[in-house]
Amino acid sequence: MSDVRGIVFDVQRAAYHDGPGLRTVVFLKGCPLRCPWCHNPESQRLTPEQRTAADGSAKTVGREMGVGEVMDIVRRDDAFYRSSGGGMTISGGEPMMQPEFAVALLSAARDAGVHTCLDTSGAVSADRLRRTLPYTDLYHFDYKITGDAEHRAMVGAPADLVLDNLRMLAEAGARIQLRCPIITGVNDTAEHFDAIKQLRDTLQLGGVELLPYHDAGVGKWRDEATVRFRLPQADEVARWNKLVG
Amino acid sequence: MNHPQRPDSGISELKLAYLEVFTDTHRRFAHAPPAVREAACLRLQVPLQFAPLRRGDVFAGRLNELPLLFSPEDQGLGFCFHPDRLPDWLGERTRGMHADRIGQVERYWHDHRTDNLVRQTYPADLTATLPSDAWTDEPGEAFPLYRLAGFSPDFGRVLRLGLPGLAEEARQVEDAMLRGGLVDAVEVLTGLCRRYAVEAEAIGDGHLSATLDGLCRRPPETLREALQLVWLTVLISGGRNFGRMDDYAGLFLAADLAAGRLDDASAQRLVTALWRCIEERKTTFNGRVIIGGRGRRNPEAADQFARLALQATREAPAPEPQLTLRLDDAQDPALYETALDMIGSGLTYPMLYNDAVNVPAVERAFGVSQDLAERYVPFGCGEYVIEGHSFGSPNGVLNLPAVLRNVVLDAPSQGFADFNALRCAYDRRVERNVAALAEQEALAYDVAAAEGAFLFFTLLDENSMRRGRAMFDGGCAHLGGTLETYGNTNAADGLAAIRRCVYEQKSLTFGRLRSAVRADFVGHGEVRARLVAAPKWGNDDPAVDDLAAEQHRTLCGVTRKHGKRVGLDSYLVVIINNQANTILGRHTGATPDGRPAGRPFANGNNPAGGADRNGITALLRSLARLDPTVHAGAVQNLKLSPDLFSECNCPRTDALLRGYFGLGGTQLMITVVNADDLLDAYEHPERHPNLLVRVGGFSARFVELARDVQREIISRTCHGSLR
Repeated sequence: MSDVRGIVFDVQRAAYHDGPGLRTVVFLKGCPLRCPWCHNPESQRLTPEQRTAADGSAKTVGREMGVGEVMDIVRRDDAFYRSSGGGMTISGGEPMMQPEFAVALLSAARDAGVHTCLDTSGAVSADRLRRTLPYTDLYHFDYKITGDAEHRAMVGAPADLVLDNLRMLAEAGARIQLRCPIITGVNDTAEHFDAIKQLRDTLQLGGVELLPYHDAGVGKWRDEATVRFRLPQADEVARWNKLVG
Repeated sequence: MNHPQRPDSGISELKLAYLEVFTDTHRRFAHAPPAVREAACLRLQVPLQFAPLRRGDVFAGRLNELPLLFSPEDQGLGFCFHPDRLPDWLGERTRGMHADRIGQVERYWHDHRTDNLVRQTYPADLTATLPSDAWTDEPGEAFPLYRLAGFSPDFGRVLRLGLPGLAEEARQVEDAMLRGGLVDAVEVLTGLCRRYAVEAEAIGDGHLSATLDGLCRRPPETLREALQLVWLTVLISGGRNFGRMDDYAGLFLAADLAAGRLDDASAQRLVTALWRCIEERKTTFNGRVIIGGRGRRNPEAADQFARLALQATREAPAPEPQLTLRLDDAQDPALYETALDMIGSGLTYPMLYNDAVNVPAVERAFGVSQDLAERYVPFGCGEYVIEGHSFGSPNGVLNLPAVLRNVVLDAPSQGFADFNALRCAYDRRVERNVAALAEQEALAYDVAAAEGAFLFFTLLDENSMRRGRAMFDGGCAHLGGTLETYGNTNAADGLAAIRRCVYEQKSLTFGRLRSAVRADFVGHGEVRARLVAAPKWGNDDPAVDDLAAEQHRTLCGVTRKHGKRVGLDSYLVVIINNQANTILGRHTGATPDGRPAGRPFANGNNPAGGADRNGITALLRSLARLDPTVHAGAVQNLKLSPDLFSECNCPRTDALLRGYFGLGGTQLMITVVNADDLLDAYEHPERHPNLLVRVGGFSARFVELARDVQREIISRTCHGSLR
């Protein structure tokens, strides 16, 4: 097995919401974006860091791990992947900030017969993403906001970069689930929901999942001020889901 | 003013007379064979023990609590005497007026009650190892329990024979004394049926009267008759569990439905009514009804009954009956699907048992054939017995964290040379206790055999009847025993913490560890923090799970060894746990896992409260680590958040459970509850009168539990879907 090493900030077992079945989610550190609603702000920097948690305790976020070490944990739940149709999800941060490590993990999982899912913002070079194609069973691809100016202003990257990557993966035949965080007052616009639908239909994506804003990231760290957005009501969420059909 | 020689009421006089006549009968028959003496006493006891029928009763049979009786298990065994029940039973006034007569009865039974006789026969070394019986009130490593629990009769046989058939079998027994006792016992039971038939007639319930009358004359023919006979038989025998009800009642149900005697709704009403009887009796730790599983004689009819049983628990949600679903691929998959739905709604029932693992495990643990192993039933809090075959009373309590604590406190001044030396000292000390408890168990059976024939158990046990011997006098084909061990997890966590801190990292000296444990960690916060930070069971961490699995094998091996030594057919560890994890914890000082004095132990085979932090798959993998082929059952309690049973999450939860069973998991008992609801019920019990939780081997209304038991349940990790 490859001995590539990377910076991991969490490995979460028995995840219910990060792809099909029961999954182990490997969270890699580093993200090119700075979304103000981010619920894992500790993931953004690429290197391990000291943080002060909400309860005042000091925590080191991120540690170096080898592919073998991560896979040892992932493989422990093989029985549950089999019973549920689950597997491994690589998330972050943006996993493609550590392309060697992410690809090595995907490849190792593929070798072990473990279903692979990659969470990506798409805000990375196409070359990096292309390298994951042979080993990735499913992409969770974020689509955050419609309009280039809005995209640059809110998350800090050009919209085209993301959209071009989405098209590239779709054209390469990848299975893609579009994941769209919806933040009231930011992107809950008719234009955005239309764009989501259009992307799904023209690129024939596997599905769309709206992720209503939640405030788990607010107050998570004492040393980081986080913007608090309004929590959506259940009927709002229902309306959004209806809009994208 | 009443005359001092006259009791204040007729009923009190009758009760006082009962005490005296029962006592006198026991005295007069002191040298008679036990069967004869017991039968004579039962004739006195049963009329008073059974309360009159009430209007609206669907099934006849309701017990009064007696202060003096013969019973296999009534906070005692054999001849049981409870002076603490006298005030309520007799009334203060009668008691005051007849203090001298009551005093004579009390003095007699102090010397003759069977539990005291067991204690009196202890040799000196046994008394030294088991100095006290007060396991709920005193600190200690090992305690005896006085009872004869752990027999699940083959009710299928009883229903085939009916009362006339049982009487006929009794008449065939060669030993004249035993024969006389058994014939008397059947007569007593038949007489009870007759009495209730008359009472039913008197209140105008012709249907119930006919049911009871029929039972006196012939074997049961309908579901109602079958359930009535089982109910009375369980009550009169001192039994508390109902075995594989779907198998023995299914045929009657199918016949009634086919003949049009019952429709689905009326059959359901009968089963639900029985459920209410079982709940009303409130045995707390018993009331098991088993459905599903391999080896049922009439699987299709049994599945049909099992569906009614599940529905009855929905209609009468309560701590009892403890509905238990054995899982087998061959049975109707709808049973499991319904079960998941019920569990998700917070009923705590049914509990799930995995036959694919348990049947071969029982085969090996008990050393029996596969056919017999398929007849296993989780009894009471969960100790396996083999229906219609084995007897396996849990008669010993072993407090493992106390043993480990004492090993640390009593260690040589320089400590132990290495971890292995410490572990050997621990294992030796465990073994000393196990050896004593095994002797105690065998001794209790011997005393029981001398004191009683346990006529109803003998009648209900096919092997005893075939052999013509009383149950504990060579009748039972498999006379085993079980040993309740507590705090297995804390002991394993403690050993792992000592190994990590003292012998591997050397961050603590043995002397500091000992001082900290002795001081209950007061002034030793740093030591405690290190111990707490060491690996803990329930996280799929080999650093502790391997050790726990080895300790389990060692403990179970030693237990089996001493069972053989004392002549039991099996002697097996059970990690069944009722609320003893909390009760024993109250009187146990600080332990090397970082647990402060007085705090609860982990429940059953579960992690210490809140110690499992690695996700539910990690927890389940830890739980599946203990070898089930060397013990007689371990309870695994899960506390799950209701969101795991939402429409969208339920398939994953189903897969989670299947994954666990595929890994070799033996069983699961699942409480589905919102963590916030538990906290709210702790503060505002009036808002949550019916919140059911699984404690250990029993379910309860949360608000009726002791405060520290409530806190223990709150401390358990609640696994949710982690959005």
